[in-house]
Amino acid sequence: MKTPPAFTKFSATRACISSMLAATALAAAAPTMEDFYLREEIPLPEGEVMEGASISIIDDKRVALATRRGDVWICDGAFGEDLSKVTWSKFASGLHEPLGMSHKDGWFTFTQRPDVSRMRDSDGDGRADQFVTVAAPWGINGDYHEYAFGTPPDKDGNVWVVLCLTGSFNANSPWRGWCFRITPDGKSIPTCSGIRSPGGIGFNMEGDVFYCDNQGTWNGSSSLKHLKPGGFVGNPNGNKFWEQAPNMGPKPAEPKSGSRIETERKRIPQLVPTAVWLPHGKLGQSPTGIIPDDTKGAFGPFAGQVLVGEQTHSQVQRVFLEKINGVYQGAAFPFLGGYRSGIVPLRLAADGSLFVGTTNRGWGARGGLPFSFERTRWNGKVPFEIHEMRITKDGFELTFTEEIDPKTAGDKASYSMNSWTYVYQSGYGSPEVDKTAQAIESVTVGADKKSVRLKVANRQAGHCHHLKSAGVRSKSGGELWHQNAYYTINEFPK
Amino acid sequence: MKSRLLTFAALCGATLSLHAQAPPKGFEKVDQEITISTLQAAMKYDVRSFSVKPNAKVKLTFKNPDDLPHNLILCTPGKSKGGDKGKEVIDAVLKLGEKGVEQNWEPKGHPRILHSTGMVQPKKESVIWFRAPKKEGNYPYICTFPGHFELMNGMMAVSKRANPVTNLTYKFYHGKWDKLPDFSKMEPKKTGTLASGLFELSPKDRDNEFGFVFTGDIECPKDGIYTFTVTSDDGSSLYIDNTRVVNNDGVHPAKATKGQVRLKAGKRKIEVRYFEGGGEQSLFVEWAGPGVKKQPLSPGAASGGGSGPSGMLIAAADGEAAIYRNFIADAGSRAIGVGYSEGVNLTFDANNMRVAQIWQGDFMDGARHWNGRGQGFQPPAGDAVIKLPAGAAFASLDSASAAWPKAETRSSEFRFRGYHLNKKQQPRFHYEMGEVAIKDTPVPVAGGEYGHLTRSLQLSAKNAPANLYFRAASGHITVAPGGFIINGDLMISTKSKATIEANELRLPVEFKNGSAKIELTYKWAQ
Repeated sequence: MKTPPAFTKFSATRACISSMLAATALAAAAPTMEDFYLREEIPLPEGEVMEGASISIIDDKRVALATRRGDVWICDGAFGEDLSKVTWSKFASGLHEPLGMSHKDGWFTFTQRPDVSRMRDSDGDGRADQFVTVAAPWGINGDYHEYAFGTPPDKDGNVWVVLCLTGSFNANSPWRGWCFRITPDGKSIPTCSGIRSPGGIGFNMEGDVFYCDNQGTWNGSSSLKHLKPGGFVGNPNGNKFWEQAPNMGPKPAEPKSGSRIETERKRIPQLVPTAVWLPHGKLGQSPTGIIPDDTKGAFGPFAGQVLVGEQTHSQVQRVFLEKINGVYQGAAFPFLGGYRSGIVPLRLAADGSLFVGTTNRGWGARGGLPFSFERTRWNGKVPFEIHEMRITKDGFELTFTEEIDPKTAGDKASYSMNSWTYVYQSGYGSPEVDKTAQAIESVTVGADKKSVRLKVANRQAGHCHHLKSAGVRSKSGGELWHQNAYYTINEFPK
Repeated sequence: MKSRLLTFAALCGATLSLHAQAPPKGFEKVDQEITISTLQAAMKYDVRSFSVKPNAKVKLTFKNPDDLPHNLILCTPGKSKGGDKGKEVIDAVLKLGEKGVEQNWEPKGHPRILHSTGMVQPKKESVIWFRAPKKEGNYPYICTFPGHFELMNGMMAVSKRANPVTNLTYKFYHGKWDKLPDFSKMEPKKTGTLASGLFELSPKDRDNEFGFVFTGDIECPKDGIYTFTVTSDDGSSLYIDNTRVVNNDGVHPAKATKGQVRLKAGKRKIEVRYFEGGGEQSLFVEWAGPGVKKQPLSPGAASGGGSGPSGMLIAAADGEAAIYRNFIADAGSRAIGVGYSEGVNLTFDANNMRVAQIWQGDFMDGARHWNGRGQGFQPPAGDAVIKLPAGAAFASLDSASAAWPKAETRSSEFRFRGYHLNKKQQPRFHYEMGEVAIKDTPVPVAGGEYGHLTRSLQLSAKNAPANLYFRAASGHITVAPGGFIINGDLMISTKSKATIEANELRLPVEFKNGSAKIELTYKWAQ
């Protein structure tokens, strides 16, 4: 009859665990977005369909929203405390899906399916009357996939445009699959080839240009790619126009289907590897607009990083980029969510107001609404998060937004890592392949108590490295708001 | 006998079924007639599937040229998945045993029997009238003479999309192609019947790398020209009596392709071939012809390129014009639609710097581009559409009688520079041909039920080019008091010099001090 004592012991242990769990729950409920960020829907004019295509901040009172149907609306009061007081006026209509817009000196510059144009209200009646086509170097043939996304002007005044493949598969219309720079005087400079199906384009803080390409042919997973002038970013269908762009240098060799980007880039010097994988299904599945957080802290502790919109999952992801041996790579983190429809454009105003335009037309999205226009502001509370994730010679360095608990953050059991890559192939998408486990060999807590250095074995070039930091606690015992990070390695520091 | 049946019909109401040779009351005019014949010494019906609309009044003639007696009993759908082709009724026939002969092999009163022709002796026929069931589904019909059922069966589909395609069957293939392969050399993965007569991809067992060959018969009501449209992603083709009418081959997004063929009234063999590479997939078949308004022969709606959705009319605000930049049929991918309050509309083609078409009434329907992903080209919503010549409207010619340059998708000689809207939101288009800058101002004029249009083109150039011509129209052109009549439906008037050359109305552009002007009036001919 030894059973009863053992049974008693077991019960006691279980009771003890239960009470511990309860205590933890009381001490700190898992953090949520509402603890740090306030998401608000901006009321829209009744009866209007305003599927977000592009956004432009006009000044500290007004924001312009261009819709997929081709209207441009101006929202007055978008920065006010009481959003029920906003007023709307229609500035223009009849544009052809303007997926890129900016405002300067009374002129809107916008990218629409057929061209890059400018428009303004020259007679002051509140409606645009002058529409000037700046450049239209590319072909379109009536296929819905032939989207054109454009940036605001860069420091030289150039608008960067990425052109989706026809049907997202071929380049039967001229220059599909290319990135152009359009100069202020209307010259068109072929800048990169290899685009498949972009969801948005934008700058990082350094002013380099990135775009999001969606999972498909020659793109195993959705990803953030660097538009390096003269580069080939992966999908070879548009390369047939390469000879027409003497500024681009020699035409790249044809990539081998079924290979890996890491293998092919050794053979094809023009191939710019994917800067950051946004692993399909794990971190959204339709990335869209790109903006730098240039608000110097008005939007929280992530100034200088890049925010990426997500259409299907109605989210905003956060990306930390670094350049190693001249090649961009970095980490993607989950960030904001819960938007009412799929995000396409996003813009941050200097005061830290993030505006997003949404739509679920043609491509379903979470959130329940067909479209919305929403504002998000930081409430001043710092979330406990991995701030930056850098590659080091023997592993990674993590910095945190808050002081860490050295015990948990210094314990290698608090972390786990595994990696994979995608097949680089002419077929659609890819499973996760070449799966590899990485051992966290040691952890060193930084003297500032806000960073750790992980010594990691078996890191893989060309892989997306999934770091889970489930055990890490802040000094005050709080959990990370987000435990997962996805770091893409292209280069190891020399 | 006749009166007894009528009484029976009166009692049964919903399952009205009559053997009379003259139509019963209420069936003098039917919605659909169908003739099904036995095939001699083949133990088969010639029509193995057909479709009817729910609750339609149907006249079914059953002919038996065979040397054996046959019947046709229409049954309710079987409960088992995929139906049982009426086997339950056959089982009931077997149970009749010796009574079978007496009862003409018909288990009268069986709950699955809807209608019966009765046993029809060799070289005889029988006609029944009935209302089709209200519930959509596949209703088998069978011959219950012992031993016939396995071969003598067919399917009546009750469907809102009922259509004149009968005996529609499919062969389904696996394979990776970038154009239609020779399916005849391949082994199908499966085959089956589509009793609904609808060409559809639902029998597929995978989403990529597959193909179909559909074959059936289509009943043409009259002699005349028939148009078939196939919208597909990826490639497809359509054959009538083994001649290709539609070629929509290759890898592409949902794309509509039309073909025309002159056909005699009666049954024609129709075959549709289809393949899917990867990504999205769709197939939508339509036909139109004498006595047939455009009719879909596929379920759902064309996912692109076809007639498409409707019901989102775009209209100008009172006294103003509306602009619609989009893919517009016959106006290209860089089309700018303009709808004027005066009841006239036009599209400007910014690929070729021309007014592509003018029309009256409703402006544009946004439903194609504003629903779903918005594939394809939208035609004008209104009527009296007049198409103007494709290709560039300006050309430098070696001589006044030289051939006009061939139309291109996008003329490389021109550069579109945008437009300016006046207070009424009416555009003035700006474009360039080399050094020549052109301002093109259409103006609507109200009057009559609909209005008409005037158009002013102002050209300027430092070095005026010689031999520049403007092509205003093409087609059958006659000179009438006050202008030129084009194809009998448009009158163009101008004060400028105009000549008819090679069935084209051409205006030589005469520069004075670096500028030239062309003024035109476009009126619908009465």
